[in-house]
Amino acid sequence: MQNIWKADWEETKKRYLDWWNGRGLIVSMWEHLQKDGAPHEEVPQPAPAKDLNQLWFDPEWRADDLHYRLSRSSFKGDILPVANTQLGPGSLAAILGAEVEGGEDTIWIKHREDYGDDIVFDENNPWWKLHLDLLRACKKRAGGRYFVGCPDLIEGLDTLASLKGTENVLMDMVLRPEVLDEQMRKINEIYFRVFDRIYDIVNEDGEMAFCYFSIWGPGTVSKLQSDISIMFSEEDYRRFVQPYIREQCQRIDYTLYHLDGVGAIRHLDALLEIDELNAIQWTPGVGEPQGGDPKWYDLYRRIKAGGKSVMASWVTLDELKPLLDNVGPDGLSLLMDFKSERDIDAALKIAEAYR
Amino acid sequence: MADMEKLYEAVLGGKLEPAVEVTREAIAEGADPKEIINGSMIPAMEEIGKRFQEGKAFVPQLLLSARAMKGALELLKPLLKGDASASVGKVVIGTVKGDLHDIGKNLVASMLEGCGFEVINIGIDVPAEKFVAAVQESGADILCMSALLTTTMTYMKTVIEALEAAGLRDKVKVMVGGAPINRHYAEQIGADGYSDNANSAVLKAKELLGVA
Repeated sequence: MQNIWKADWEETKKRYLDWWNGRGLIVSMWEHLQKDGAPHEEVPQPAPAKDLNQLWFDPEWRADDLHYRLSRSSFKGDILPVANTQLGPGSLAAILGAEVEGGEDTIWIKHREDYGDDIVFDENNPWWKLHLDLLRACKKRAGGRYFVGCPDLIEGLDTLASLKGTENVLMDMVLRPEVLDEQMRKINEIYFRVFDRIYDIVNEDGEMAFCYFSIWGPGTVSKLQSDISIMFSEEDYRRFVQPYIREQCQRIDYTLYHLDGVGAIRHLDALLEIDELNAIQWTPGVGEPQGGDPKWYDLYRRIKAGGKSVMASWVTLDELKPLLDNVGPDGLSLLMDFKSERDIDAALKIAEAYR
Repeated sequence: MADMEKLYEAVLGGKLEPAVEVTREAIAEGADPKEIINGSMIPAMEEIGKRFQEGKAFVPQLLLSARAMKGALELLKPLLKGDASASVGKVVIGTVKGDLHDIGKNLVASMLEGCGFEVINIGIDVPAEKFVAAVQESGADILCMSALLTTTMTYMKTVIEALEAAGLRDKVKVMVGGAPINRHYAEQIGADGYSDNANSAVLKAKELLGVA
């Protein structure tokens, strides 16, 4: 990527590669903030979205908007130049027939009461077409200046819950486990088909970026999760989640698991058993202190001791040094809570002493 | 003679068919419906709730117990018509406007119903006027509101204000819950109670009605 809007891109690439392999430190943030000074390139600002439909579902408008915003975004530190192509949390469910509604702040993906047992991938599904149109439109604008991120597809039981409803999935775990097994197998099969098609569009010389948690790798990259698992036992996790996550980790080159909520920590041992999983991101959840708090140091040490890299999120500047002192910089990625480029400079100054 | 211990075990184990079968037998033998509910079904729901709170049971087990309880309750409802003492209290429950999350709310509804409350579940994305109308029409003792987003939790206060404006606030207790909610927030917006899980919601509801 000769034209990339990040002068020190080669250094950041090396740090990501090190991080995936349990070494080194990444200082980044998830969303972008506006850079100081001139934009990377003069890009015309698109007219404001006419309505929520255009805001979320007009691929040309969204590509123009992302292109404009990225031209003014800071990529200091290890912040990735990546277009956030989100089409809702868990857009694989939309592709498979869930209902979709664009809200003020997010896209809602809702289950359908009449969804049957058969999980079918229809190439003509309008949301799948939207994925392809949006990614292609963004790729055209990007022209090698930034990555086009893979949307947050989500997989497994979370996708099934978005299709059939959480309660139905949870009850099937007990009442119809064999049906659930078949559906999980099918969802993974479709996931790989969809993911591979997306990779074909978004990859840059084989490299790709994933929108959620802003991750990059020199190959296929994905964020994996099972948020629904906060509601069931470790035994059920090993039965209905672990085998499918393992299969994803085996098929995808670089994988980050999003561990969400205190109640999900009980599944950490099962996650650490997946040899091919590279890293674990910790989201403490509402009502808990964010990822830089000392409360989570032991969790991070446990993850690292289990052979995985760590991603800590929404770390504040004053939490940075104590976190590095207590957890150690190797295999640590920090999604910082930056408000300005001055914050980024201050964080990089602290981080420099640990590199 | 119907084996009431079997009914207890069926509800606790989340087994619908045995729960319905034993209840049908008990009704045929002329058993007191209230005794069936209070003697076997509610204790089973309380036990599964306790196990949930202790981390020995999880949401699938709660859902299945509630399903078994509801199945048996359907047979008993016609026999209890007009008997106000059969219900611990009447609850209106919903997720506030702008929020489409329903699992936590439904779980609380199931546990409340399973533990003897009459529950009117008015769904998700519920505007203040619909909460007010439901309370007014049903004469509910308790209004339960759920929110899973920090952006929607503030709407709970709007609903409480709407209850005040409609002259209903002193006639109904208000309980709130959901991931971003805590006791402090509940107090701040003028709610009467808060709970962070389905089991403690039942205990709090009983406490508010003085039937704990």
